[in-house]
Amino acid sequence: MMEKSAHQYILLPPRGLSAGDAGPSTSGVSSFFTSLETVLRATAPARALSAEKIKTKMTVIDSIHENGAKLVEMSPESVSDLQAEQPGLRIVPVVYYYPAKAPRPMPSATPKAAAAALKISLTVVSKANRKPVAAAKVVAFTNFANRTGAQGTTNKKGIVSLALGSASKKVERLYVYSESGFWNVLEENIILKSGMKVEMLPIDLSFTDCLRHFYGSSAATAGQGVTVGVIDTGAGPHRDLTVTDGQNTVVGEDPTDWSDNGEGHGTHVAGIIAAHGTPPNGIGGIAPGVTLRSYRVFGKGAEGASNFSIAKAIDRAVSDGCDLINMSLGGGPRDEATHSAIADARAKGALVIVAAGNDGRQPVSFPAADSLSLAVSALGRQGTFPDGTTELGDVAPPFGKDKKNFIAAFSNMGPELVLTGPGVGIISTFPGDKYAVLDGTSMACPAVTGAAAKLLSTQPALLANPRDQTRSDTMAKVVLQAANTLGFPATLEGQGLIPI
Amino acid sequence: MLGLLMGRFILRFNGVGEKPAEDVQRIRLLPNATILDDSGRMILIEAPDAAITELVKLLPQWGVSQESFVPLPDPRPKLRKPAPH
Repeated sequence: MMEKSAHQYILLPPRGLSAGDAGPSTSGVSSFFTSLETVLRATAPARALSAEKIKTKMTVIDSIHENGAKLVEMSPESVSDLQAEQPGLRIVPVVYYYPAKAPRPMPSATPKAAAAALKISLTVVSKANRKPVAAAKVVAFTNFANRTGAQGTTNKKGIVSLALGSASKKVERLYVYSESGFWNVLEENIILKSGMKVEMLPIDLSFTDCLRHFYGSSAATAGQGVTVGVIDTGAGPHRDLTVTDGQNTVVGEDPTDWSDNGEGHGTHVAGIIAAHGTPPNGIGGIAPGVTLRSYRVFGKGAEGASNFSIAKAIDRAVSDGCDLINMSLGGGPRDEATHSAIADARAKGALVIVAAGNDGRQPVSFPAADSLSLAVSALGRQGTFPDGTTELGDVAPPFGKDKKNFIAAFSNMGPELVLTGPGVGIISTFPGDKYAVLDGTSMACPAVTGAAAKLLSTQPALLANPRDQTRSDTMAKVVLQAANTLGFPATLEGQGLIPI
Repeated sequence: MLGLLMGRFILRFNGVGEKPAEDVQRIRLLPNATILDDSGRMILIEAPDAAITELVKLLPQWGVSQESFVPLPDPRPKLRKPAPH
């Protein structure tokens, strides 16, 4: 009997409705469908024999095709187990459609008169030498739940003015973010007054952050033989990174300009995977031995990446021979072009590893939610970031078997998650030969990619296989079956953390 | 173009092998349309919505998506409204 929390899902081959549609390299998926068909249709002895071959607990309800699509019922926690058992399957939640009722017009909130307000001036300085920190973003929440408050950016003297309406104001949370070089500050329940100073702690590259706690330092050869494509804001140049090549797939921009667009996100992501520096003057990633390629999908000055640029980057990464494709991006509705590109990547032997999103325990965002993606949540650990830093705001229950471990409060959750990786307070490379601390499933995703690369590089026979669906399914199986639970529900950690 | 509802669409060939030349030609000849990018299995096209709807009926091996954008990921808490004074 199924548990009360059982949900309905459609199991599909990588393409089409029948395993035969997906080409000759899906024999594992095909025999799995045949077993499910037997469970559904056969008489007792044959049914029992077939049921033994299916490890994941589920009930087969209906079948569209003898060798294909099945309607099953299982718990959301079992989805991750099934992905580990049959990595080539698409597992799609059953969706019910309802009449689209027109929304009723609602009065908008009465706009408040622009406040010719009193402002509070703060000075942000380095804790090391008391020098001003310019261009730091300061956000003061007077009511954190309602996200009410004021914000500003420090000038060259490190001064910021916050329009809080009085000379002194209680704030529930004060966040200070520097672009690079410092740990970001979080102060809670303080009275702000003009003239106050906020100190920022410079980054010490020898510090054991969350990434180094779980993964330590790697040999320069770790990941050798594996090619990784990073689809992001571009990567490098940075003294700790060697980016072999890449492409800019932003429509209208120079295709050869695959370096960072200035945001720094992609350079940070790339460093987590493949930086080859050594503390205290540099930083190392998890798999410095990989061949690293950069695919830029965010334009210069653009706030978004188009699904066309993303799908084109996936196609290009596959044709360039990438074994693993890292996508620390997502959001918005499911998109057929991106889905098809991911399906093609899997059919050509590559794995696509995607950040689950940072919406605070919301459903896993697309394309991480695509059944053929490997979706990653963000793991944190208390004690791996200094006191008074923004990472404190990311701590949330439930805690793992080791009570210091947690899944970040911002991390999305759901049955699509297959793995977790360190993503809270991560030190990595930043444009201009700098270093920055960032948080997010964006950081957890490359941690998983790096760990997967390190693991797969120990299996040259697998990497030498023809680049087809069987290869990517086997790679997924190796990676997922190596993972160990940290004691969280599967909807928060999937199969857990890849040990290296 | 007055009166035409224009959009940017991704046409992706989902069949086996290269995208067929005759299909590409049919897409290129679509009235009031501009090809913005042609890459591998995909074509990015700006065209009237209705024309794309009709076109894909004739090209069953092609999928169509409207161009959309994903933001740069950022988990930092955002201010929604100014503090009351």
